[in-house]
Amino acid sequence: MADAELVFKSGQELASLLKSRQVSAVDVVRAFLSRIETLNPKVNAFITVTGDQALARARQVDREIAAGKYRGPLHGLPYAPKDILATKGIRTTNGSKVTADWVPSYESTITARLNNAGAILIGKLNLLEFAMGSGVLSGFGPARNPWDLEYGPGGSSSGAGVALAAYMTPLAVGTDTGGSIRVPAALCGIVGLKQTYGRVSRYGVTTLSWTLDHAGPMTKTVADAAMMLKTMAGSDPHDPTAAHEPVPDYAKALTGDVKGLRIGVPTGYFFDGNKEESATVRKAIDKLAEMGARIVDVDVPHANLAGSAGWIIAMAEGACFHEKRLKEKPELFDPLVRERLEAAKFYPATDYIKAMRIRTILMDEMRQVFQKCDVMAVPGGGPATRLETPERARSDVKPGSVSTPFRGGTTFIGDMTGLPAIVIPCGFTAGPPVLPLTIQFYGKAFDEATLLRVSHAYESATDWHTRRPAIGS
Amino acid sequence: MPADRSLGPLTRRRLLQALATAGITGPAAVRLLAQARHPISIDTLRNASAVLGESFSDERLAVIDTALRRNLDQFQIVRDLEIDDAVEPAPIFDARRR
Repeated sequence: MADAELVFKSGQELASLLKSRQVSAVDVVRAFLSRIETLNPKVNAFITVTGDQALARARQVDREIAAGKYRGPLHGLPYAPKDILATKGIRTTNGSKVTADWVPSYESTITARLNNAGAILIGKLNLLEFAMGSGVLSGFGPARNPWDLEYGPGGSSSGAGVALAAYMTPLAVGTDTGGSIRVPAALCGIVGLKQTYGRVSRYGVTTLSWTLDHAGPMTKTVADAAMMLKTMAGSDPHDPTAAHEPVPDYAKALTGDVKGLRIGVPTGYFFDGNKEESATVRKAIDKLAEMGARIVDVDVPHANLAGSAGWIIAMAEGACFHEKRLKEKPELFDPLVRERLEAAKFYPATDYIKAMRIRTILMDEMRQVFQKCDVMAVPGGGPATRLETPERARSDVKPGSVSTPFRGGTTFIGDMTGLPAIVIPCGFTAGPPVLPLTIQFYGKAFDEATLLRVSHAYESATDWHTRRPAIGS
Repeated sequence: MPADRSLGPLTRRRLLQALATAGITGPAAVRLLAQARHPISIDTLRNASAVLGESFSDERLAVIDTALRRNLDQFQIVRDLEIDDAVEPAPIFDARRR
């Protein structure tokens, strides 16, 4: 099978071909490495490509499968984590010049679990510096949106969004503190799943905010996200916040059926963003209603505070985490990261505690929402906008801008409440340029299965996820 | 103890309501309120740095000053929220956890 055909297959399709030995892991890895070599100079999705190690591992996988030691659906599949996950013996930069040469002596739990399942690491993905920079001035330059290279891919898991949209990897891992899985998923038109806080271990993931950080799968299809989450999830002695909740077989949730499922649609705030996206998301909700879902109105009265309160928590915790590096190597930070962290040193403790009390309020309000519905549908948070100039990217204070309350967009409330959320494609802008639009579903704590069920049903009834950007097609 | 919304000084929230009644809303109202607040300056930040046990150059203090003014404008909506005394911060520590 030609390389070009292989890279456009989903992880699940590749797994089937690998299991039946219609293709070898070496063929699959070579196809993606070739794609990376061609496209990475244009989109800058990968910071590090581990070609030699990946091919050596692929040869080992082929021997294992030939010997009847097939480990499961991830065996032989290439994957790439955001370069904020520690990989033993492999440079982990955090997208920053501050840690540009760091080679961890330990492995993150997530990559260890994926490796043990037989997945093959093919490289480390670009990101906004320490998961909070500008992207433009981050340590390794900006990743570019494959749908239009002048547009940003969102962040902070920018490289993951780009690599998936450009078919440079079938599977990726991102992290999400205010929306960093879901925003690049929205802007690049792929699937991004932020699981419940505690569902996936954070061990070996460089901290931005201890209480807000999540890690999760980013993929081309919902079934691939389900497949990855099954492997990534579960308790971990290295991470006391990793929950002891049983991990279900998410594949069983992918029934294609939404009959009777209650979908909550908020009456305010969430649909106040981009009008084209909001209208497209409402069409997607109508489609789900046609498929048998019940639509109910819900309300999150303080949703507008999630952004401001979340920002206080994230930056205060980030300033604490980076305190030593900020004192010792301030000049190596992205100017925007340095500005944000230094400013956060002056936040009063009372603001932080109040933000944590607002978190309680938001959790209560979301609990009430889920008494009325099974999932809540909102816009994903796109479409993409033009990459900023370096001058504008230096500071949050933009020339001529008006100071308005932070909009947490449609994502920050997920990190503030710890509730799971998934973003999937549901359309495109009229253009030009033609850019992806997405819908986001929120669910009850530890009920990722229902999110996957509704997302898979919608994906199966539409073809948005099969469309490709012109680059490399 | 429930928050008493009927008494107390003229809060920013009440001022915002008054401005809204007068037809002044959105960024214009935020700008007016920002002007009315006690200003921060590089000198006040230098003094605060001493409390933090930090020492910033004048150049850095200027950057922080600008960033912080923007932050404070935005964080005001958090400060303005009146929260019932019964609402505790979201629990992070759980003694049942290992």
